[in-house]
Amino acid sequence: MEEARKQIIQTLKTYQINKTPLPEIETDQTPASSESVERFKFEFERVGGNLIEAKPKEIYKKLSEIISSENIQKIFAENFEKSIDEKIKDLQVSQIITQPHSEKQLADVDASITGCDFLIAETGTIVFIHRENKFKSAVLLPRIHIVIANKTQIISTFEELVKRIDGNFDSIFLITGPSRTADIEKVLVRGVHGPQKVYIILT
Amino acid sequence: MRNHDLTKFKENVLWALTNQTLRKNLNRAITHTLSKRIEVVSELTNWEELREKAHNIRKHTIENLAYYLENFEKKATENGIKILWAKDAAEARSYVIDIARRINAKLCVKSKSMVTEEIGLREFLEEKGIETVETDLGEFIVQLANEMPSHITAPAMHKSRDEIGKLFAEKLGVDFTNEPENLTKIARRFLREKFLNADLGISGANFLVAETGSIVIVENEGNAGLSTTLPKVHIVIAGIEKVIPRLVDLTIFFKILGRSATAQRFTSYVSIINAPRNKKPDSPEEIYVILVDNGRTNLLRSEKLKQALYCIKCGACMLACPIYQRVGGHAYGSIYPGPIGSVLTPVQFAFDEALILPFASSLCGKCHEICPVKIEIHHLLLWLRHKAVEQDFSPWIEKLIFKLWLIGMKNHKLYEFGAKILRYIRKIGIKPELKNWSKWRTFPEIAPKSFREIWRRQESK
Ligand code: SF4
Repeated sequence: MEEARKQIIQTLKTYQINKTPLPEIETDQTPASSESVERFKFEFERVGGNLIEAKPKEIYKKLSEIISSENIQKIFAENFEKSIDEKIKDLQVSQIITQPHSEKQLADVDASITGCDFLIAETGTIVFIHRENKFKSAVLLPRIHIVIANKTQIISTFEELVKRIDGNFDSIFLITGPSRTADIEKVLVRGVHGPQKVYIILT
Repeated sequence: MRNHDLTKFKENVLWALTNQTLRKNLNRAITHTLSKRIEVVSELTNWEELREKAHNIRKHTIENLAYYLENFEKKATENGIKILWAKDAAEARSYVIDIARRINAKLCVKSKSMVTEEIGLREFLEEKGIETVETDLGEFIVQLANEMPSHITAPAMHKSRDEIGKLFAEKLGVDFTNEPENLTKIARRFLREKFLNADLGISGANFLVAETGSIVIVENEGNAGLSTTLPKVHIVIAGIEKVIPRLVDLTIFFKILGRSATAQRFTSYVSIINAPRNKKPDSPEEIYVILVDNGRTNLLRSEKLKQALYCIKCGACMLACPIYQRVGGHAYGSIYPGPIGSVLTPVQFAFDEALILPFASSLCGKCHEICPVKIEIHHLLLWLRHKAVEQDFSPWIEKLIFKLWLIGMKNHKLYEFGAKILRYIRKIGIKPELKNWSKWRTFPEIAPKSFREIWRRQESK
């Protein structure tokens, strides 16, 4: 290993030249505005997302509607602030998991309910930065993902995200619409390995 | 048939050109992607500016590759990721098997990665008794068919739904269906089991960020997200050219990569992974990154060919290439087909037989025009042809013809004399025996009078 490393680095150094400067990249984007909210809605729906606008007190009602229309039995729910947690507890489902003990258990779940860190208007993307244990599997394994988010979380671009996190993060996961493929005759199919549907309840 | 033999390139081409189903499948996939691409590219008014920036970032990085790799290594190691260096395919494979044996791995899930194809990792692990499953739908299809991918981002684009339906019925023992939706469901069910039981996850990387030590993986299906979080151990295999300087560079690459690869504004999933579980909860316990050379430094040695290392493996040049459009990826007999593949294959793998590939180009420059990092692929192809001829690559008859042509072109009397003789030969009805050429084309008629003769007559009137 050391041998290979030395050899590769040495060869690379022989050919190292300093000719082309690294281009500057602007991250000063216009901050999010009411237009960004519209843009987010447009882009998120364009990639196949389901957007539901709601007042904070309607969250329970909207959740219940999704749960019955999608025939959801078991859910995984992240920890939210107390008021939302209590509403989730009241949902008419057969099982609510908040602390998954295994991936197999998560694979059995119909839907996951989570928050998020940001929403990117330009691309309709949901941003997660460093979450709880087994978070990614909890979001990818069930067939439905429901995000509860607030308009204040909308930022304008990916550039703005990079600027805000300022290199200070553990891991980032970006979701733009449902899981998809076009591997068979370019026909778009949703829900390959990840969720078939992504909902956002936007307050 | 896992692989078309490169040494039989001409036969492969004939086979492809006469295969009606293949032509139809290719045509459908390529037309669809290219027309969608135009839509998502033209809505960016600064596309050319983005390409220019991307080109310069890649150029700067390749010029300072040692510096950025060392930085990446330092940062990633601090984050708790283990870095390994491999000179060639064998060394890379041996690291993987060592890790797999140490953790006693029985089942490995793989997400799409060209470099693992390049080093023959799946076959190797299977040989060693570790079940290894491709989890990207396209790759899964070609694995079942025991073929290699025919395109670097759309591996199964050469297959029709009927062919895939038959394949699934035969290999997975399910009832025949040719509905893409149902076929996808079957794959999901089959692969779900594998995901949940795998002890090793292997992926490639689209980018390695030197500044933060991050591994960046973009995908659409969610299989990479699962392959890199469910198993205890995650191994990333990446070519040494994959590094980029800063996190902010991603703002450029994300705009051009999705659009060029799959005609998408943004891919469904992006994972930016910084550390294993001991540092952060939602990851495997151990993450390894194997940095693979395997001939990449050969490209670096040539001032000209260096550019090929800017490639971000989007596959757009293949779709744009009039040759690829007709013969598809398998005919090239290389894991990297199409225009950029015809540069990489002979040089990276120092494979003399592959010097025929640069000739499989019309030098029209469409590859350059579409390339998001602006590689002058057609210039590189021309230059490689030159090298090939220098190495006695072309047959003696071709050399003789070109020698005579050169003498003739330098002297206009000789040229006119030569042209007269050729016209005379045609006039008395002798047809040249150039079967290989005229079998697929109509032989051009030689005009009864040359342009110069007509001109002279006009002048004298
Ligand atoms: S050469 Fe350019 S167009 Fe071809 S795969 Fe590489 S980046 Fe894409």
